[in-house]
Amino acid sequence: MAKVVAGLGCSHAPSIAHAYDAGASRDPGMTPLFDAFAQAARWLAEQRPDALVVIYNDHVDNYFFDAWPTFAIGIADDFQIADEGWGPRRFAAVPGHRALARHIAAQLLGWSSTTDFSRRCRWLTKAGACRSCR
Amino acid sequence: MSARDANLAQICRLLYDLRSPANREAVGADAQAYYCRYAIGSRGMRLLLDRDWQGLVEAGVTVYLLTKLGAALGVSLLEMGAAMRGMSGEEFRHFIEEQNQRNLPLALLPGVTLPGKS
Repeated sequence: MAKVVAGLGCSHAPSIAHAYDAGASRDPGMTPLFDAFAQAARWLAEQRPDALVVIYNDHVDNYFFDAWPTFAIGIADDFQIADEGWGPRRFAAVPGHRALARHIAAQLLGWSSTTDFSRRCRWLTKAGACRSCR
Repeated sequence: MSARDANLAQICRLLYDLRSPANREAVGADAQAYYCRYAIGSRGMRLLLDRDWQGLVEAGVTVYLLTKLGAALGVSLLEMGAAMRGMSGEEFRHFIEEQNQRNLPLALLPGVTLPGKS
């Protein structure tokens, strides 16, 4: 049984990514948020977790409405940054963990019949969510 | 599936396909010609040509698809929001700022102080 180290969450506001990309993360209104990110990143690095389970919503980038999963587990060697219309944001691809993803998928399959599995899931939408795992 | 639903699916597909840079170039160069590739119906064509963001939302289009068209046409999410509320860009920024001020005390973590306040 794995040890769950922590759950970290972030609000889903487009202004966060825009502020980061525009170099405005030190603006007065943004510092409480970005200071909290830095604090969380330091704390997470100290914990040295073996893997991160990154949960995000797909901005209609992996999937279209002809086949729309409620939940999907991505099984891939890496997850590229999605091109949401402005070109991909400048982050490195996020390494995947196939073995863990397969394990979670297999366990969920035994536990529930409502999970979707996909090898089409190749694009990561919210780069902000995975900055700490680079 | 009704004709209306079929048109909506095609509008969504048209917007989804803007993930490709070639399609973004096409819509930027000649929007109507790009829209004509899809069976979106006369109402769908009207909504898109008019950049009727509120009408598109009411037709059932998600904002994640609208932003793909906005990116291709150079229309920001803020500009869309302003248009949806019938405000100018300046009015909408003012409206957002008012909301920020109103919500700020609720958004702070314990021990975090506001900039400029001790």
